[in-house]
Amino acid sequence: MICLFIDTSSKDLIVYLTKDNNVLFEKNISSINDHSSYLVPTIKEAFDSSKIDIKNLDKIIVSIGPGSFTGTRVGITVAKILAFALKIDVIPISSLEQYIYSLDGYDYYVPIIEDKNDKIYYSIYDKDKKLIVNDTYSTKNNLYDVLEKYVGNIVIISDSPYYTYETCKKKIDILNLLSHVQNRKGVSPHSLKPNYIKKIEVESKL
Amino acid sequence: MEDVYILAIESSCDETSVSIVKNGKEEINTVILSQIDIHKKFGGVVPEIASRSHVENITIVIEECLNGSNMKIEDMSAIAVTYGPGLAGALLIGVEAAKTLAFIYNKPLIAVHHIAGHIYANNLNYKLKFPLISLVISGGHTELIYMKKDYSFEKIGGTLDDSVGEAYDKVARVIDVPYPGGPVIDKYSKKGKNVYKLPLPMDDGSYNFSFSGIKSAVINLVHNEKQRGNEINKYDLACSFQSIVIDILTKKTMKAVKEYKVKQLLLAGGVSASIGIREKFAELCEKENIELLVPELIYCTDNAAMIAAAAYYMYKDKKFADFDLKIKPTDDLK
Repeated sequence: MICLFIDTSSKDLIVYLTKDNNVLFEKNISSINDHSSYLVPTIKEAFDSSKIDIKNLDKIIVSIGPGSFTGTRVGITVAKILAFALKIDVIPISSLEQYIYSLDGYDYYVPIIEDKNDKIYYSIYDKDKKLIVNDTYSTKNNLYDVLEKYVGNIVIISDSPYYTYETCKKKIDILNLLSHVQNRKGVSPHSLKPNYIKKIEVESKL
Repeated sequence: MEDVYILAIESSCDETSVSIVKNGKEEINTVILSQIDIHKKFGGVVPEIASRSHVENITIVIEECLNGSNMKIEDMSAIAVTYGPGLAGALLIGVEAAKTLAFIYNKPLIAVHHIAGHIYANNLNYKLKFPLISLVISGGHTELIYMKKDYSFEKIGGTLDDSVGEAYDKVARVIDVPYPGGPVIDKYSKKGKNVYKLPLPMDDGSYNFSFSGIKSAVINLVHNEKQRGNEINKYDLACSFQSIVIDILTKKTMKAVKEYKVKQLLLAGGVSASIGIREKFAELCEKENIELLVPELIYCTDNAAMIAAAAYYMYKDKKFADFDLKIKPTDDLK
């Protein structure tokens, strides 16, 4: 099975190409605000360097946010077109969830994405990596209040420090991630869209 | 040369459109999904909402266009897309979709300038004869373009501030006409009289335009009339405003037509759908013995057929783009 993973929801552009249990290609480019210039060339490079015909692709896993609205749309548009044209499954994954598969042995996993003005996106997974708190937009203090309810080994997955909590840097373990998500039911390319969570100004005024 | 089929995508503002055109002239099928109903409640196009709508509809519109054409992407000679000018987040969706299709099917990618598309909308109905002048008037543009031959553009003038379309929308708001105001003002104008005095904007002998002043003049006029306790006659105000717009557009355009000794004058862009503007240009062109081309109404506003039509001439010159193509939200036509 040949899988393509795409994440453009943050300032990093992340692409993996895997075949069965092997990573054929991986690239992480800090292409801040210019994912559009790099994404299709990087995907082409992935297939060319692995000598695989794009028509043999079986599945696409794409990060649907939360994160940068524009950035996420770049990856989602490419994933939609690939899935539509090649008539294959596309599996959406949260840009928070993608980071929990690089760690093991904790009771709670709390991936975090920092937004502006001390606001964050977070979610909480239990020791079996089952989602117990959905992707949420809030303040850090609000998260601390929530975390008080959980007893056990908590790990925060972020590149910044969080109070006295143990933190681990964000990393993607692509093979472990795929083993968890690749058998999920795919969505139709027509219905695939970003998970924005945050409302935009004009909407909240309506 | 064998037949050239181009599939084009247009997403520069609030229309998601996909079209297949044969040899730059013959429309095979066009699908246009307008977001106008979504933006209406905000009184204008909200860029973030436009981008969201494009991403949600892009594959649906492509599929509908293919289904209605009985063709496959494999049958295409190239994939074309509007790369600018327009709203950044909106342009991105079309550009990413076009790049991905070109990559999967190993087709050349053609990056088309939106204004070139508007001009070539005329190519879908008529045969262009050079040299020509095109007046491009829309919600985002007001430009005079001189063309010596196919796909050669020289901008001889343009707006220094608001576009004509913006002026229409703003004046519409002043007289409480719902967005988009252009078509309604055009209709009101027929029923009204040119009685309100408004200044002729930028009447300076250049080929440039300015429409921010006339908008302020209309606001002031309404304000003053209200203070005097006079009711504004919407029809008369629409007529007075449109008369001024037509005066300045025709004055500068006809001057250019004579100076550049052109064979044709082309109107292009959404505002060229205005009956008032079309009629006045028709009258003047007949007097000057200049052939006037005006696109079919459906090709006046944003659509992908015009992008495919323009792309044909780039295809013939093998002007292809790479997959690292960048959008250009502001870019002059060259």
